[in-house]
Amino acid sequence: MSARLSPALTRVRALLADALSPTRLDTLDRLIALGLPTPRDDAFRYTNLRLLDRRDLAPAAAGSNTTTTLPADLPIGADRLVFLNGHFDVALSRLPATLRVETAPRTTCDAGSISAVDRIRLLNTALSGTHTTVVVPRNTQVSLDLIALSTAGCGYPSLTFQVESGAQLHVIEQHTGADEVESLTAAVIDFELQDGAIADHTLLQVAGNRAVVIGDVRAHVGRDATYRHRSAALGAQLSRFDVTVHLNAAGASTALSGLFLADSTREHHLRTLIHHAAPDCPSDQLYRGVASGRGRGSYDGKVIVDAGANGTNSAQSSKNLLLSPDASIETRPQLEINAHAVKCSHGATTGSLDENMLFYLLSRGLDRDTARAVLTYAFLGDVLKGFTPAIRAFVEARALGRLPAADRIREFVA
Amino acid sequence: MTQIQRGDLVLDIKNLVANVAGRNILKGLDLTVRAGEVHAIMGPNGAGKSTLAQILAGRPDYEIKSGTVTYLDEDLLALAPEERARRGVFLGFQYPVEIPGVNNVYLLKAALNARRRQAGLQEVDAFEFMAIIREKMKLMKMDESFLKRGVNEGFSGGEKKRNEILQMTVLEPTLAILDETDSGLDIDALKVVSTGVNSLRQDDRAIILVTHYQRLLDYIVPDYVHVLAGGRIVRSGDRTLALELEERGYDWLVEGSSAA
Ligand SMILES: Nc1ncnc2c1ncn2[C@@H]1O[C@H](COP(=O)(O)OP(=O)(O)OP(=O)(O)O)[C@@H](O)[C@H]1O
Ligand SMILES: [Mg+2]
Repeated sequence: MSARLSPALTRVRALLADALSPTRLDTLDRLIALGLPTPRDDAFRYTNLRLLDRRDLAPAAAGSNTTTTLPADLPIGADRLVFLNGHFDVALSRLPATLRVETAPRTTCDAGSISAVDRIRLLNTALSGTHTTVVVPRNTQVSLDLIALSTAGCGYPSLTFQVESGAQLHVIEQHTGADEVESLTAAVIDFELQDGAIADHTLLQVAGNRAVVIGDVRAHVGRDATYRHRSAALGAQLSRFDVTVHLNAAGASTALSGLFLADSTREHHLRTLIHHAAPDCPSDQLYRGVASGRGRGSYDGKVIVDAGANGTNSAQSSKNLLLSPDASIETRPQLEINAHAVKCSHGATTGSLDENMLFYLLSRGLDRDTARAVLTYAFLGDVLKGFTPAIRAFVEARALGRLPAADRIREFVA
Repeated sequence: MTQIQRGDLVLDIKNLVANVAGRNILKGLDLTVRAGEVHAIMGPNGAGKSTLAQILAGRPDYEIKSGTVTYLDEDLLALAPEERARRGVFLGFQYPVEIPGVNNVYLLKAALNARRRQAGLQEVDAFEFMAIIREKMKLMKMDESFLKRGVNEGFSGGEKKRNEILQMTVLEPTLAILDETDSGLDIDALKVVSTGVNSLRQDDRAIILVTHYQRLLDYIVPDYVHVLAGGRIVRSGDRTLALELEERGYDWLVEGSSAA
């Protein structure tokens, strides 16, 4: 194994050697032996975490002070779970009575073979204080916001949603923080969906400009259960999300959609893995990425259909738009089919604005900046339509702010 | 802005030579169009008719080798496409492009206001605009559902052409260039489109119709008919020339021009 020495890991070990429990120290040592993922690991081929080398990875202290408030412009509902710098914060949270919330000390990661993404889990396990489990009881419905607020240093939220059979969970996860804070969030969020359960998961990454946000989302979907996921990555210096969905029993389904906007020197990386392990499961993916300036992005999407997962119906579309010669977006759609009688379509494209469309708009008198912004915005339309009106308005306001001629294009979009 | 009078020079093309992808398409084209006139341009496939239309609208893919194009005393070739549009040049595309997700109505409102700003007029608000567009849609016999759709998104071939003419009637251009607006239209749509075009036939405007079919000219009677072949206007006449072409085709003219 060609482990690359991570200076940041070595530093944090020296710093926390006396503070960490033996099991967590052991986990940290395993990670140090393996190293943080690098582009030499296939799953991280497009994501370079080198900028973490210079950072201090020690977890921020728990607890809020009286001045800690949630950003006013977030679309926040009545109930919420707040993680302040990675720690579940009871004072800022407000939980519906139906929900069971348990926090427990973090246990170690399962042994066995450790993938590159698992190493993010190791990091989270070693440095996160507690693990929170949220149970949505049978046949109940819960809507809540999950807010990861960074005001200092590093946070390692760790959370499992257990959605019992027939229950429904709507959760809006939001990563946010001030632009001045050089923060790191490495979040691990699992969804366990029992038969007939529904989880509707919206993920908004609007972190501060110097933040690094890494998320490892895994959903285990039971019989006739549904995991829906919509994301918008707009903030941070670098964000990376892994979304893994296991369709474990017949009739399980998933729909993933998302957009990112990598302007200036921002990076947004996305990796999805949909594992069809049972027959008659539909899966759908719709992703749109935009990079401008020297922004970078990637979409690495894999669908695996196991032997016996007959009747699989899987669609994948990733379209990406480059607005400047120095911007780049890499894509890799992958399909691995081991079953018969499956319907799979997959594809990913990267291109620049359509010259014919651009000329058409110019020929109607629109100036070039407006025309480009209108087309960029329209490009995101299919994904924007999938958000609820309130979230859409929030994403549009944030996304438009990043596009030239923002004020002039709003009304154009059908 | 001074008022344009019937007979004023709107477009003056002199000895225009243009290449596309390194190939010479226009080979010294001359054309003069005055206010109040309708000119029909006919000619064989690949002759350069759309090339001419796109050059007038300012498409960047064409390389102008020599010649001049004057539009209302200005050097048209020096203006960006959007500047031309705002000064009243309108191209009805042979193949209107679909722009999913960009709302038809808002594009048109922005286009109209860009033109009005240029002319020193006050912009219209959403309310005033809806009144304008409803009236024009009635003229074009278009369903209100088109208002909500993306630009040409999922429109049939005929609907796209109708939409081009709708845009034209709203924008009220000084020079309208309609590239094969009649192709793909059924008989009823042809009449509707002709009504739209004729509604713009006024002393202070000029219209260039590119067409393959004499039939359109029964509805929009041109003042002049030109034959564009081999990158030049090889013959000009009145509407009887179109009838003659219908009978004789282009061979007699094309051969004549290459011999000349
Ligand atoms: N972008 C381009 N690249 C290469 N060749 C081109 C391009 N655009 C036009 N041409 C060529 O220029 C010539 C003139 O084309 P143009 O579209 O102007 O013809 P047209 O007279 O409008 O024909 P039609 O009646 O079929 O519409 C054709 O041979 C065409 O293939
Ligand atoms: Mg043509």
